[in-house]
Amino acid sequence: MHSASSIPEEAECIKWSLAVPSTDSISKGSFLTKLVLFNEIILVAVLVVISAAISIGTSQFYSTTNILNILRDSSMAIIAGIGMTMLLITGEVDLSIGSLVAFVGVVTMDIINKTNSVFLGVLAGLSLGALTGLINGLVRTKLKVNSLIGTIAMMMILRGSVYLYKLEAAQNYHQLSSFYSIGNGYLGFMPIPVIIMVILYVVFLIILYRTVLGRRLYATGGNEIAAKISGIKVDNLKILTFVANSVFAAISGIILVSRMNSGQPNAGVGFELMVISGVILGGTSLGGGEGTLVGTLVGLLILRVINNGIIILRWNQDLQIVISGLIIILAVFIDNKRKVARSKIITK
Amino acid sequence: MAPDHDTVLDVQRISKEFPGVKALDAVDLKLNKGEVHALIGENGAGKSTLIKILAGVYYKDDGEILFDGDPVDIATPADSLKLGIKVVFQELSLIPHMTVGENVFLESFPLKKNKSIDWDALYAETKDILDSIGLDISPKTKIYKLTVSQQQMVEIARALSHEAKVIIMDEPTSALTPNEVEHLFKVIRQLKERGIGILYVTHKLEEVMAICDAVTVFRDGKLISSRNVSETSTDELVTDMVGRSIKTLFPRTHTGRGDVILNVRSLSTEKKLKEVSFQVRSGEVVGIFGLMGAGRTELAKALFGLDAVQAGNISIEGRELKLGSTSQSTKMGLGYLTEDRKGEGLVLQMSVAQNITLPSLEDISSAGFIKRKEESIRSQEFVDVFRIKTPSLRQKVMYLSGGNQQKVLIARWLMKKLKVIILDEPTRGIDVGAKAEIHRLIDELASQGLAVVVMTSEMPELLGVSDHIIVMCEGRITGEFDRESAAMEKILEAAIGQKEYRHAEQ
Repeated sequence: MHSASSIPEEAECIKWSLAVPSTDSISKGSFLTKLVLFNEIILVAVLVVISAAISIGTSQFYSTTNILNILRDSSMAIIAGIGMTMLLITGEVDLSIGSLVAFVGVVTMDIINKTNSVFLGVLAGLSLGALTGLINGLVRTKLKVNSLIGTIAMMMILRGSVYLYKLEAAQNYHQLSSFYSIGNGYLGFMPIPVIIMVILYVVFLIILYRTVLGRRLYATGGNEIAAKISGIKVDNLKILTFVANSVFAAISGIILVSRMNSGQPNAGVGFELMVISGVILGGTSLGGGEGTLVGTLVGLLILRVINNGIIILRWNQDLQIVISGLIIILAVFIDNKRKVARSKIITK
Repeated sequence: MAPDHDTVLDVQRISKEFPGVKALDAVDLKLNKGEVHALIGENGAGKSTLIKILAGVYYKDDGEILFDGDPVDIATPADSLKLGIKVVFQELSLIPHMTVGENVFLESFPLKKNKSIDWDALYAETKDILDSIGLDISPKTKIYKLTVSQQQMVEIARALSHEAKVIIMDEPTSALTPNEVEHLFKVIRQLKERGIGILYVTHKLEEVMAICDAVTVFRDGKLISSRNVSETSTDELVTDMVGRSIKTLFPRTHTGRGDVILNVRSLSTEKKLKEVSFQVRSGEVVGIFGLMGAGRTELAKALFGLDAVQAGNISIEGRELKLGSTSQSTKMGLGYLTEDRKGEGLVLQMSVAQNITLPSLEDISSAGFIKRKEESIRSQEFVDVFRIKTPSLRQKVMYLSGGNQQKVLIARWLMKKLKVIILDEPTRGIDVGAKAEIHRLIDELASQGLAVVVMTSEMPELLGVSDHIIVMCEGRITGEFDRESAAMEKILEAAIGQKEYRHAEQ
């Protein structure tokens, strides 16, 4: 074949190497350029390097307890991250999930205290999530308010509402062990939040990559008008994704309140930014149409491992936020580099 | 060439090439002081390219520009403005939330000694300029409060503040009422008297006759003729604009027509369409022609449910179509190939196969799960039949050429099994070879019994593919022709709103 027709094949190689890295794909360009092309691999490498660095600093890191701790601690962010990834894929964003986590926590605890029923409490929490998502979705699609603005407004509304609802923390008066175990219990050696996270993760991994719904999410974010012209009910799809995203956040909120054993009105501050940063670190684009749940998993794990490292190394905990910020800039920088490198190879 | 003292702008053998298109091929144009010079041609003739070169937006590949007899280099918009060339673009480039005065002096505010803006001078000078062109508004009015024609006058005032020697007007009357056009002409005559050369880009021949001294015709990026208006006629200009034998280029194999499939009655939209009615039969290709702003794309979008419809109704095979719902339209068997392939048609990050199957996902899935094997098999069929050049089905569609991207979009609709397809500018921006293939596909669509609507601004394409031709002008149908009775001259007359050709039947 002549050079002209071999160009797109090169692109093809790159795409497939993402799934199955093989030496065949490395044909042109420096090794470093090649490596930079595979986002998920880079991320895994970063995770490994950070873990190694921390374990040099302290032997505590590589203990089973600590690793299970990290997983338990990450599960809330990863659950919310699943919803956020899907929302970003459709080209929207939700900044209200941090406030929602607090509100859901307080309401859930309060209802359980009043009814002595874990089921009703959790149902109330999840319903509050679904309702919030529905409103976010309607504001975006019917009132045509940009979701960045609309969900900042929702963030304020929810935070204000939770204080109006209860100024003090909703303490656990019910002493129901089944509720306590949602956040703190184990099934075998696995923490229950991790099990919830893994189940949701696998289910939505399949939905996103194998179903009509998943394909439509990518199409909507990739080109909204094209999706519309193809007969996709773009508005309904977006509302559905907003609802899913808020329900995921509500699940995280329920796990959190169970772990803390009290519903704090000021919980979840900055939670939305941490989740969005992890998702973006995982390669999901803010512009819509692109993103993977694998990236989200690794991206959020990186942030949580850094967090854990700072704690067990007994560094100043305020460093967490600073370092997370720096990592975001680095991640976007690498992502840009990657895109340029990719287009260079393709146009060569 | 001897310098001509009356010539202010002398364009010599200018060429400009874009990937795949020779937009300008060694064209000449000579504009004299105090002359109104019309530049006319069909869409794609190269008019805009020349304007943009003169405005410093594009840079010429070849050729020379003499200004006042001296060779000049126009590399940036600032260069152009400095020379005294002012372009009044179709989309006006004023800043809506600034005042008239601020916009007029945007590039060079009058300053006091201490370098602060001399507002008194700014508004006084603006007032003088506005008076000189008979525009009776306060210089402190915000731009967004003005009508389009007033804004246009502000653009002209801006040109005068720069002491422009050449003013280029790009389709200046496209958004004006007849009264406003009269006022514009008055101002143009004043500018003439001041010795300003005006390049008047238009497709309205009656305006050429009314206001212009000389006229240059471009076609396919080439200079066709340059004459004095007094020595020519509209007929001659039309022939120059179109002038080629076309009929044999697009053989239609299929001519049999079936029942009426698409029936559009009195369709009106708020912005553009006025009482548009027509029918399309099974196996028939209806070509809809119109110049820029005639309402073709608006019609396509209203038909498909992308734009809101004010009045009228649409039925497919006798069943009423719910207006304003694209998902309903696709369910009823209506497909729309947009003119904006990348902006509205393709999902660029997705693969060839994923783009082809996008509207047909329900047909290749069970219980919501996509059957990947079936997706590959069915899209591969179309890749083979249409000869879509791609290394694999998994190739991202953004890496395909324009012609192949267009084939992907047509394949998308063929897989969906439609009754009606609307093709908006199906061959825009694709090379000649691929064009012929797309035309073959259009023929193929009709012979499969679809009702085909082709919106086009290209005359040869229109005459070549259509069984029936509808001409639009300013949102209305101004002409209807059968394949046999269609003649370019009549079509153009209808398109510029000079004459109407309506059938009694239909």
